[in-house]
Amino acid sequence: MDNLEFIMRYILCFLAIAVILNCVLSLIRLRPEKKTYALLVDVTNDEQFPINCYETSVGRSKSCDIVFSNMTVSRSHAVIALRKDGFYIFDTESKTGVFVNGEQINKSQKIFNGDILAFGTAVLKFYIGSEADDDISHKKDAPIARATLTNLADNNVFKLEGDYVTIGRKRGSNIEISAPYVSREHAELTLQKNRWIIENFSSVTATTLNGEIIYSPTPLENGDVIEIGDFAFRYEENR
Amino acid sequence: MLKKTKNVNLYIMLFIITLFQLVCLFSLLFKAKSEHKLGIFISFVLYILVEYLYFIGARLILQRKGFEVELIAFLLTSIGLTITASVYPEATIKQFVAVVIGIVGFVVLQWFMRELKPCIALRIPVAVLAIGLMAFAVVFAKYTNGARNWIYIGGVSVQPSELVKVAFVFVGAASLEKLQSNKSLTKFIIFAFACVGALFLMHDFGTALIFFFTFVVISFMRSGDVRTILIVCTVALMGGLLILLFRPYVANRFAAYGHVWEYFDTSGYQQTRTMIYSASGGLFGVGIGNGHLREIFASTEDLVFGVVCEEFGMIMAGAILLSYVALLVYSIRHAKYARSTFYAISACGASALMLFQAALNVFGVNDILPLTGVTLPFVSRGGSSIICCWMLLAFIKAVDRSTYRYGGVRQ
Amino acid sequence: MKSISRRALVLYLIIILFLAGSGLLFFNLITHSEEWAMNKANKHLYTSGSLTTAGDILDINGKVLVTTKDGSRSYNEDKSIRLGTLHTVGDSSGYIASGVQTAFKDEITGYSLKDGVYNLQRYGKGNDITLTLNAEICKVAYNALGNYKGTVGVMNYKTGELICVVSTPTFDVYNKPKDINTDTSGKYEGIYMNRFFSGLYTPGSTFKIITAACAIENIPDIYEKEFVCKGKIQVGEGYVICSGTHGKINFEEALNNSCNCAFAKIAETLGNDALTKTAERIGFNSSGLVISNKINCSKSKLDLSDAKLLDLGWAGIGQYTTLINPCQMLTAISSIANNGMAVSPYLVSQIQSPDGKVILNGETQQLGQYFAEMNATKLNNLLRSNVKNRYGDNLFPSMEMCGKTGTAEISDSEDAKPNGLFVGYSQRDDMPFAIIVIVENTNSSMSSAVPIASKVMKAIKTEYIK
Repeated sequence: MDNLEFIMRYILCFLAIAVILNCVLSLIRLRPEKKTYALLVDVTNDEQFPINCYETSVGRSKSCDIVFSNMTVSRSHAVIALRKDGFYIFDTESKTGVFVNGEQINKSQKIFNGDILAFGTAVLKFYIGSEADDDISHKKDAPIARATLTNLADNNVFKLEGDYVTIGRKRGSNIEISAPYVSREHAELTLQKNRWIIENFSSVTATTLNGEIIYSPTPLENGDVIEIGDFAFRYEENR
Repeated sequence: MLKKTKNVNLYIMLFIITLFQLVCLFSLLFKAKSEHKLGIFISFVLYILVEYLYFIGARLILQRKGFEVELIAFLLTSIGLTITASVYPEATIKQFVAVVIGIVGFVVLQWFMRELKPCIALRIPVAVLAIGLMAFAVVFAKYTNGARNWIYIGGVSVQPSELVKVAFVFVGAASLEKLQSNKSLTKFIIFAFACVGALFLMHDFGTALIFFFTFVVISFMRSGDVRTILIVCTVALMGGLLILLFRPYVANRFAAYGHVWEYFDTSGYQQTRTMIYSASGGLFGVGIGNGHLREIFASTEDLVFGVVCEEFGMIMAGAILLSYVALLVYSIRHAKYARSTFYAISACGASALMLFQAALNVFGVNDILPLTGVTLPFVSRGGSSIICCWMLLAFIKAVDRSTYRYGGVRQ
Repeated sequence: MKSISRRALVLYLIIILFLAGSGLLFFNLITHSEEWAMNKANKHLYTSGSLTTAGDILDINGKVLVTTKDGSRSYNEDKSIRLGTLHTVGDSSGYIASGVQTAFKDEITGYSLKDGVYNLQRYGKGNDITLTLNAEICKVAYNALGNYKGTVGVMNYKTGELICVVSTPTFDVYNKPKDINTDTSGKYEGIYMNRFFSGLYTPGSTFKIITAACAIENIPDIYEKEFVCKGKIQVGEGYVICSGTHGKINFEEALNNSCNCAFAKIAETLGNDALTKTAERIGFNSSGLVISNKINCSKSKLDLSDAKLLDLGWAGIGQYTTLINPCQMLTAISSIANNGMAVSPYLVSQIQSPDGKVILNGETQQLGQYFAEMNATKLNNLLRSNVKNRYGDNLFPSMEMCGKTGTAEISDSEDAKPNGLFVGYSQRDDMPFAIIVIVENTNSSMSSAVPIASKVMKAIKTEYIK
């Protein structure tokens, strides 16, 4: 027994050290992986600000994650926060307020892909990151159960079905718009890799997405607003 | 070439930990009196079972990765449990029950913190409850060893200040509605002073110091407002000096600090004995149950570090100290990518609290700091203490976004 | 989150402080580990201040001087051996700091940084220490000292093994006098001190050996010189008194008769520097000897920096402020016997771990050539003639004994008795032992120190020459 105890002392020490050192080294060496959840793009100069954290502060102060040295931006202006159900923007008692798509928010508001955020005179477009391992984009890859376009004028709902949907003045278009400035084959929505993509074919009248003219095929996000002339449709999807 | 570091292999680590616990159990059973053998055996077997339940559940059902934090806590707890079973075999089951409550608290608190909203909503009620508990303790607690922080409920003694530690970190960190903006700390300062003041009334200066330290860490993390914190520190320092001036017996408690060998048999008794027996253990210790420090008062609480040194050896003692450091490093590393400032601040606050408490305990008994009589996280005997530590661990666990699933997908 | 993560970085400061504290903690623990573990409050080793579990201490013949029996230290049954070896073995309570039991605490308890005191747990004892001491010789020396305070040391001048170290007054560990700490009569004066290692004595005439050595080295015609002794001699502004009136004598006769006049004159001729130089070569004024790497001896002193001519005269005959350490003196005498080469005295012959491994073996170490071989031979002849012509070979039958006595005045007061000293050695190859005897408060060395030396040397002869 004496010899057993003698050896057991070493064994105990060895076992404990094996666990603690392994865990401690792992804890000290492991760093959380950096992910880009979303992107803010300055509309004036296309400068990109990646959003890597769950909470990203915007302001003039150097301690903010996204810094604008613009006097109309408060030192601590706003926080963009990723919550379980998506992104929110919080106004952190800024002087000039936070505007989403042109409207001032009160304290906080949920924001969507393509929203235009304005902090003072700084105007940015908000993109939800497209990295496949991102939880929200991951959700985008799931099959679309139901996608609709709602005419904002009369709340008529048009269900998007099949692989593609055409919009135009031409008869037989899936969505027929009989207005002179609308081209015969004005735009087309196609379903690619579980996403509805909008493409403009008209050379007469612009098709805009959330107020932006689209020049190339652009994927649609839930809540996007498509405008063709006076007609406006809101895109909604369920997955 | 740099290799990407991976998480430790859970199954290998679990195997080693189990072996460790079985060797401890074997040593204990060999030395224990026959009437205690059953209790020790049952406690250890159930403890190992709980451990497996937790890990298997988290790995297979919740599909988590990265178990370093819990592995460390389980190992430290089993060292503590071994010492308890060896010194106070009759208290093994009680301690084991407290450990289980702690682990359940850890799991529940983790689950509760999966979403931010309820945490924020509970901020005020928890603060009120905490102050209520402290006030209750001030009025009803009984004097034990010079400090009045025990209350007895139906034969079970509870140390409310330990439970309030969890609440303190929780309340301090839950500042979300102000989201990262430099907003006033007034409410938190009031809350903190209520807690620290109550502890002073209870003569529990060690715990008061821990609360104050945690307060400084949390308020700095929240506001970065060095000026306010400096003012608060100055006020606290002056308050402390006033107390020393008008209550000289408080100062007497710390009189031996720095020259404990001159107070060999009086106020330096515990420290000198700890050092003597720590040195006697050497690098590998004299074996479980063979120590003599255990005969000295509070050996399994305040002096537990000395018992570890004596019976398990200095190497193991050093490793224990490192594990507290690792928990704080982990929290700091993950603070940036935490799911919210609440998680970042609470994790840093909780792990800094544990490190500070370990420092007070370990350096106190070795005369590097004054002896304040606080427990060593996870290792010291004491139900309230172990429950508090496990619940604080939930904050640390919650800082890692990969702990939780979002929309069915692991981050 | 940038602001939060940046603030979190400040917490690294706390980590640095914590790691620094831990570093200090373990630095303290490791550097003080032996000192702390050997504290008397350590119940692994002590019970109410007494050493309880530790290894055995044996003499060179394997006789157990102290062991652990039934949870306490058990000493040799022979009371004379117990008393005679007390100061070398040490007491359980550690009052005798130079005792092996105290000085070799780490070894005897088997303490190591790696295993702490675990060996005690495992084997119930620490390492065993075998001393170079011969318990029987110590017993004889102790009995010969009788009621005198003083010390006897015997060492093998070829190897450095100390075979006898006795210091008195002593006490019985089994029956410690009750009044030992309260007595004011002085009968227990320095009872906890090993006089052989820690004592400092005025050398008296034994110092004349060193003066003679210095003379041989520095005065080429010393053997041709003639000295006149009229009972006293003027040196500088005063007189050095001699023990007798020796008339015209040569160098050898001067040493035989221990003539103060002659040696005061020689010292005067030599001067401060030459005498100091010789004395310092044989270890005066430098740090004391260290026995077996653990036991520190006091350092011998000869300070002539402020000495006037008269002081130099007194110093030449071993008075003035000169002090010798018995162990140091024995080493110097041994070097004369060993052709001028001094060997380091040692006490620990072997340390053996409980599982039978030999941890340490005592070894002969040379300290250096104290005297040129030629000069050592001359000194040897002078010392031999002392015994042959003066003290008488009948005291040391067939030992080819060499030696020198000394009577050291330690106080100017009338009723204070001087100390009697004898240093010497046997020239026989089969009995290479040097001896020092110091007896305090005696009438003359011839009546006290010499008979004690005679008894001890006779016992050694019986023991070693079969």
